[in-house]
Amino acid sequence: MGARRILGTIASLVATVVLVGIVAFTPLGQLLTLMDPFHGVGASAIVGTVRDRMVLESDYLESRVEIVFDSNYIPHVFAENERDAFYAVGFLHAWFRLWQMDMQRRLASGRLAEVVGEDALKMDIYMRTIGLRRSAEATVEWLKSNRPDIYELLEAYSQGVNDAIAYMKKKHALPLMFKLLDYEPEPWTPVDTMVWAKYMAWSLTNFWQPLMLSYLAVKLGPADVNILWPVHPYYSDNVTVVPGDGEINGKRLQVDPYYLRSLNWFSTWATGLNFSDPEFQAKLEEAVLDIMELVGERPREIGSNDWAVAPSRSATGAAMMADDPHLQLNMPSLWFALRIYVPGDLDVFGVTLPGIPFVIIGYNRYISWGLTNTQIGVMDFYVERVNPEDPTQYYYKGKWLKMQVIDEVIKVRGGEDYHLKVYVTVHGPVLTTKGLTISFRWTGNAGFMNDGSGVTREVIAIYLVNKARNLEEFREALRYWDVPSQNFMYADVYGNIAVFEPGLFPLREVTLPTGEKVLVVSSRSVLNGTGDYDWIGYIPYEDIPHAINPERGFLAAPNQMSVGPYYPYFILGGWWDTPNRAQAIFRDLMSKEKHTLEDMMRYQADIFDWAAYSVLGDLIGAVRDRATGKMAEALRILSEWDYRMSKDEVAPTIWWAWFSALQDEMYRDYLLSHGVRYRVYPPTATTIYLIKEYRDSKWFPGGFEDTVYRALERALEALEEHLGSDISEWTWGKVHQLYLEHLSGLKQLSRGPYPEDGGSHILMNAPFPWDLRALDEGVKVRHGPSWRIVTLMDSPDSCNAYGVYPGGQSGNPISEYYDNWVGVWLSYDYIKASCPEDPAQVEGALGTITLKPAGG
Amino acid sequence: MSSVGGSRFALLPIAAAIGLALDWLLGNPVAPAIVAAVIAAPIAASMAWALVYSLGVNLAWLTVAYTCMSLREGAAEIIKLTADIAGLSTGVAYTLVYVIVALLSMASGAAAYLIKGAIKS
Repeated sequence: MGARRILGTIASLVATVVLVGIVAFTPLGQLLTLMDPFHGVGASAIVGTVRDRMVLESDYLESRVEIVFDSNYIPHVFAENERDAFYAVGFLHAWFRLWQMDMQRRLASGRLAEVVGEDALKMDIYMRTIGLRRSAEATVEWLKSNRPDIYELLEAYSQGVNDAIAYMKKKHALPLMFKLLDYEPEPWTPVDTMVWAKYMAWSLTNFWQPLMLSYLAVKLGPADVNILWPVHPYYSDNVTVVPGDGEINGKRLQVDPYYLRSLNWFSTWATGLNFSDPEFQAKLEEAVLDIMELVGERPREIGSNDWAVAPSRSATGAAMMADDPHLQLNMPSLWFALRIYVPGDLDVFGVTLPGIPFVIIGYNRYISWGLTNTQIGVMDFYVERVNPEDPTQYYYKGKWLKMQVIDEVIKVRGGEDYHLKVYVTVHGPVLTTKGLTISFRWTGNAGFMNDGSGVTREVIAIYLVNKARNLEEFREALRYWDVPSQNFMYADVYGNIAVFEPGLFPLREVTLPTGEKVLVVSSRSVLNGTGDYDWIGYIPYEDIPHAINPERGFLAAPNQMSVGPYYPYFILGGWWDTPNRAQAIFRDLMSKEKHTLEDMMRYQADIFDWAAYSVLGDLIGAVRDRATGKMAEALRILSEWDYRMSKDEVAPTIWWAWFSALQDEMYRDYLLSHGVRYRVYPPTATTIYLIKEYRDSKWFPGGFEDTVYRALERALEALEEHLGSDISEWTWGKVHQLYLEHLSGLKQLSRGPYPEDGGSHILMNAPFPWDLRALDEGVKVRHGPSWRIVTLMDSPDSCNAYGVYPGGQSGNPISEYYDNWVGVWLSYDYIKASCPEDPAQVEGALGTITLKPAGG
Repeated sequence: MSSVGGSRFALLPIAAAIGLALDWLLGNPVAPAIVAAVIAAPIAASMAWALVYSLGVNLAWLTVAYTCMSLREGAAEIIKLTADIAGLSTGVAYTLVYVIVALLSMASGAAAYLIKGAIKS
């Protein structure tokens, strides 16, 4: 063989290796992998779809499970025992939403950077610091020992997920996103289920009110903070969740609640800290800014609705319930609808959270239930006194204690591992050491024993709720509900309606300036961490806010104040929504004597704006005499408006812009002149209050009329700039648009934008910032009714439950069931549940999955 | 021959490695066979034939595979969606795949031809 041939061989091999290298290590290679006709994305087409019949075997099953998809693509799980049923739910969740489940557990566990790289590192640091995974692990260990029955169901669910993963791998059909991101899912475990439950609890309760109010108290002074962010929101007392003045089980607050509301809760007697000390102020500011940098800005004005109507106010004489939790709206949806039928044990329809086996909001023939957030504070912040000689020691109850140190290693795709040390005090994880060392205590980490173990039992509660057949069983089930504290609205076929607010509500004993002692819930400021301001326990379950069959014939809990002022435990910490939705639903429910199921649906779609109704007349009156030209035209449109935030009307656009500009005029310079670095405007209820009751205040610089006039001028200029000079073109739907973003952010997998009715504080809640910059930035609506359900509890056989969420059952973007409910939801239509007791009775069945024991 | 190892068997792992690399990249069960066939087949006596042979077999295989795949429900649609996410039209995505495969095929064909020559000598 000649040298030339050897050289040729080598050159040819080198060329091949180079080509292979280019393909293996460049985007072209990824394209080849994705386009691979056998293992590429084409093979993923089958996942998240069911046609005709799929038959699979599993060693895990005791008996055969039939899953039949009805004409709305809602699966009905027919099983002979609960273990098999929840195995099937795991299989279903994975088959339809595996990538979503994986992202969710990664998010909650602080493991996103591992698959998406550096961009997610900050979020991972945040999550590892909070320690949801640690609490989830503790909870699962506790369940294993104390509730093996529940643990077994979580295991069955995990097995179902893992068998689905194995099947997908065998068919090379892992969902598209795994292939795009080039990774594979790890096996599912009960800890993954619990960590998602913890995350949901966290996302519904991580309000940083005490921290932010402390910062504002330093900047603005406690007196102004008390006016702008009052202890309890204005206009709340007449629309509380629980009717009455707050007395419960014969117990009443023994101190005047109005006196308590008027106190300076930033005082040393209340906090153990000196808020008037300039050095403390500077350190606090530094600490708060550092923490806010870690946690980012929370979306505001989200909220949820639920209400129930008693037989006395129902056209059919049967109780009714409605619920629509307002959460982030994404593709795929947070929810997955299904029905589980185990003869004699379980017959439940509703929505589940992929990752968690049980129906969270639903209907089971005998009872129906819905959830909203109580908004009561369950998180406190402690300023730790740190040993100057050793910053890992802190002073607690007369002793120096060592902080626990947890080493977390965060893997970063394409980068170095990130090593994080999490310091934990007796209160909980340390959030910052800049300026001050601040730790926080959250009920989800404190646990139901308040021992810091992180053990919480809400999975037990929701499992028992799924099975409850009457009010007493429902009430007993909720005894185990720890986090997040929720308003559980209830209606049953026996004609009962009720609301319970289960959850861990942290109590502290405070000595007032008068020397009296009072039990308060949570706090309004950061607290001294040396032991005197700690939680001493939780509100006993018997005393949680609740109401059963009220005389007035209805209950409603759209995130307003829970109880009247004389509730025996003074609720100091909370972040209640402006009570506009409460005012609106009370108005609806009192508008007629008897309500129908259709009325319930209509109220969920109610776009009446109580804020506009309350103050628009005042605003118009302030400027009418000076208005000419476009301003006069705008006032004419507003004067003829019925306060409905319709996407097709112009008035809502002008109202929104005017009220936004007004808040700028009222608060922007005021906050800036005090050095506040955030655009933290007071709640809408406060602005309404100031307009109604406090027009001579400093918050109307130059006087009320001038402030209102300037605001309208600015609003009209902004609208003209963005929407043109023809005022008839300024319809709300051009500004207010819903965008259902895919969890990956990819626009090809997202849906929208859709012109949308509603707005902030509206029953048809579609929160939109009160901020004219939204026009420049093209801000879209990203929250709203994530699931609507209404039920008529006339008979166990009628199956009168109706629901819908924006999205579709399948997580596979090419499935026709990926987004088929978006239109249904946008047009305020519903899908009726069905309750067949036999697979053959499922009407219009679209497909079946049969899961059978191996060899069976 | 002795200068490159002395035995035809010493070259087989290299040929197999090329084939397997292609297999891994393409999910192509034919690629190793091409290399083996070029080495063994009399028709691939010249470099030109080796190139045409490997190119033809691979592209034919790819065409058949895509045709079969597109018969599966949703497969073409998900390919289209993926191409869109990659910022390509479906046609461009397919073309790129064919071009890459062609280049790889030709390189492997050439390598196989030369390996065959080395084995013979």
